[in-house]
Amino acid sequence: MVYNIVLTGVGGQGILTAAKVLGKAAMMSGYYAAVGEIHGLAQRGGSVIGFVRISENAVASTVPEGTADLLLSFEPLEAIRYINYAKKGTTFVVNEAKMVPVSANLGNTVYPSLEEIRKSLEEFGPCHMFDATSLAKSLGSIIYVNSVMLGKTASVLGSLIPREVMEKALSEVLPRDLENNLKAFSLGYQVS
Amino acid sequence: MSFLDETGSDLLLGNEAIARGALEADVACVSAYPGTPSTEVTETLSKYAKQTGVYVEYSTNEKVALEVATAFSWSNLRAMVTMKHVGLNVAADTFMSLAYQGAVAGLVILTADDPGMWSSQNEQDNRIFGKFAGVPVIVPSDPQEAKDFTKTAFELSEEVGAPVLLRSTTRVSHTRSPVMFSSLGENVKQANQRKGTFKPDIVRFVSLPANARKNHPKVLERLEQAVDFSRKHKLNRREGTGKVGVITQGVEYLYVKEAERDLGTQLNILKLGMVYPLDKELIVDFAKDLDVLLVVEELEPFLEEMVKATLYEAGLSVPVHGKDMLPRIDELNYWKVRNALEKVLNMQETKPQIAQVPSLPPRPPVLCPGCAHRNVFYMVKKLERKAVKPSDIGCYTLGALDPLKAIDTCIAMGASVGLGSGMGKAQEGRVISTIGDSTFFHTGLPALVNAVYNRSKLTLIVLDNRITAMTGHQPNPSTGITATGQVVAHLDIEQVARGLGADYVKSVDPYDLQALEQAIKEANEYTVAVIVAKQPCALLRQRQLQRRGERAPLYAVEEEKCTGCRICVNLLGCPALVFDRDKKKVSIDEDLCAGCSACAQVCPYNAIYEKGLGGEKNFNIVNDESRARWQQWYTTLF
Repeated sequence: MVYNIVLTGVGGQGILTAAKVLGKAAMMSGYYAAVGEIHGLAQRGGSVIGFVRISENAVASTVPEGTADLLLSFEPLEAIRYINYAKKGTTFVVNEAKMVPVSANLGNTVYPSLEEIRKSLEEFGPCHMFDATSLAKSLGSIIYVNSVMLGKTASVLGSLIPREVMEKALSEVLPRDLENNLKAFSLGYQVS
Repeated sequence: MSFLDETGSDLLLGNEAIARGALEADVACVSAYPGTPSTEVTETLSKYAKQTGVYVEYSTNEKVALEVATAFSWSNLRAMVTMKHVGLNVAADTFMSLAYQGAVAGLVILTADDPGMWSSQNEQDNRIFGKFAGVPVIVPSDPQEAKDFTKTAFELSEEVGAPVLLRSTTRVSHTRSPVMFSSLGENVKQANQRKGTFKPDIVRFVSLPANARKNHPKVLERLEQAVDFSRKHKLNRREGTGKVGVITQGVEYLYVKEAERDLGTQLNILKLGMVYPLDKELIVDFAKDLDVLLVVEELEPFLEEMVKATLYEAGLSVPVHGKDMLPRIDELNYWKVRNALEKVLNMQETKPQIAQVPSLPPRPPVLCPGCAHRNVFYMVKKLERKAVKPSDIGCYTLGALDPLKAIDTCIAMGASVGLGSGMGKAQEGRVISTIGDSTFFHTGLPALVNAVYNRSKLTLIVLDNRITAMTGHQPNPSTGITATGQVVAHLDIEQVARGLGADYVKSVDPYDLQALEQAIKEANEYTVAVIVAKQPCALLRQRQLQRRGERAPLYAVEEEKCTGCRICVNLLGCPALVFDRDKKKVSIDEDLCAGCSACAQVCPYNAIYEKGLGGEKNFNIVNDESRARWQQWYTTLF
């Protein structure tokens, strides 16, 4: 068994932190976990991708293209950018708050509409789109976006990683400001 | 679970695992110049330096870092030096001679290679460097092995007396997976800060030609001993049976195993942990009954060529495949390896079902909102469109991208100054080089001396943000803090440039665009001019302000005044500036704005204002108060 998760978004959104939480939670649930990260230049406001693989055996941390079970995107455009990882049946969890890239502001290219994005994702599998950024802001800051996203992920993962285990992993990775992060997690968990 | 626990297991980054391995090996010194994907090793150890007694330093460059580590080894204390692959080029002069002289206490050199060039200018395969120098090369596959092999590398180094190259790659260094701990070294446990003793040995340590001739044969002896060591410690292992053989190493081994499982087949695998020197007897013994052999390795056919030569010597004619089935460039991955295995297994090749990515607005990495590099590039482009503009390695290499496009070259650390010095002679036009503070100290210094000495016409702008930003904010001599948090003198680049004899030296605040403009214009009157643009890394400054409960002022657009000309967007390309296509107005994203005011300064309609705390709108941006605030950011960041 290998369960492949791809996380995408914009550098600075806390994607690597979310990947670490998922990896810890998988390990606590008795699996081998491999988390793939890219650091350095790639993180400065640019497109970011991370991987979490939950497995029985030791595996490399890179998710092979066309095999993602879950694609977790912190920004709508970035979900499409990594559609090469999706397969028939991929589940999508997408934050619908847009971050318009500089290239689109300069007028070279056009940012697709949310409906277009949703439609192309739904060709593969179920798509949960919601405004994680607004939920985070309701707690005072956009920094809670990753906890909101993790909450929704927990509800999608169901029995693979129990909610309490995810919350425990979250508290280990983000011990500072834990109360708000758990609240954010809960908001994400409850979102329909 | 804590990093310094005696037992247990935790989800560790490969680089954290290497750091842990060094602590279990009772390391006494770790030195480094930061570079992706190696950085987190020393970063992790710097956090625990006090609790472990390990001496940790950021050196000014990799060559110096290697020399510092060598000093500990030669004083009979275990030492490790960490760098990215291209860092070993900088350290190569010392590295090549050190191979002759050898290690006293264990000396491990971590080279973190970057196949696929996720954050590098090339994807050189540093296993070849080990062979070139004649030092053993150890290659781990995953974080657990990264930890275990680090420990083994110290033992190997000490037992045979050679420095050992520990070669990781991005996919090992930046993978997080479970790592089982062993006990920490005795000195580390007691936080002993150690001092060793250097015992002179003229023949060994003084590389006069007569001595070097005596030391060269020792290189070969050590390599022979390394093979014995690899057998004793089972660094290379065999798995499975059958007529189809695979020789592999590193993360490639995990791709092979996953494909083997998915293909429902059984391969005869030789997994190498020590890739140089090659254990020839093992290779021959492994290959002698095979029908076919596939070598699975990223980048160069390093093992493949040695394996082929070894089998030829032994008179074996088993067909050996490698780079005829796997690419020599970029990373390998599951599909590439699986398809190669299908070929040697005479199986139908599986075409992966991969969806086509449509054409989308690109999102390359960009300079952060508030980054002062943007201002310098904006001004350089405005004033000096025709100048030759060499630049360097750092966040500021992004100055090459739209819309700034204010740099022409980037080769290697420090090359902006050497190339600039040459461009001042090679052609008539003006030369404006840009370099960061850390890179300036790394290898910019000797080149600046060269420009002064040889009277080359050059303007050098040092983008002094007081930190090594791109790799995640490691301190450097401009920071005035060491790796372990000791406060030392801030090495002022203005003073350094004066001391080196530059004809014009000026510090400016790049947030003050007029002052910046004036300095770049003035500099043109001199032969060697150095402008130090002093403004701390905006990302770091925003974090510091937040910690202190302060914030930078926010800026906003007065909608009636905004004509939608997009001059601010087109000149600066700041991610906080958002253009609304329907309203034809620009607005500022308050979640992103870092309060640098550059957009307000370039707006020709004076439509951007600073938001006062009481809601008042301040259109007079650059004044004594703002200048004082910006200067304070530079001087009191740390």
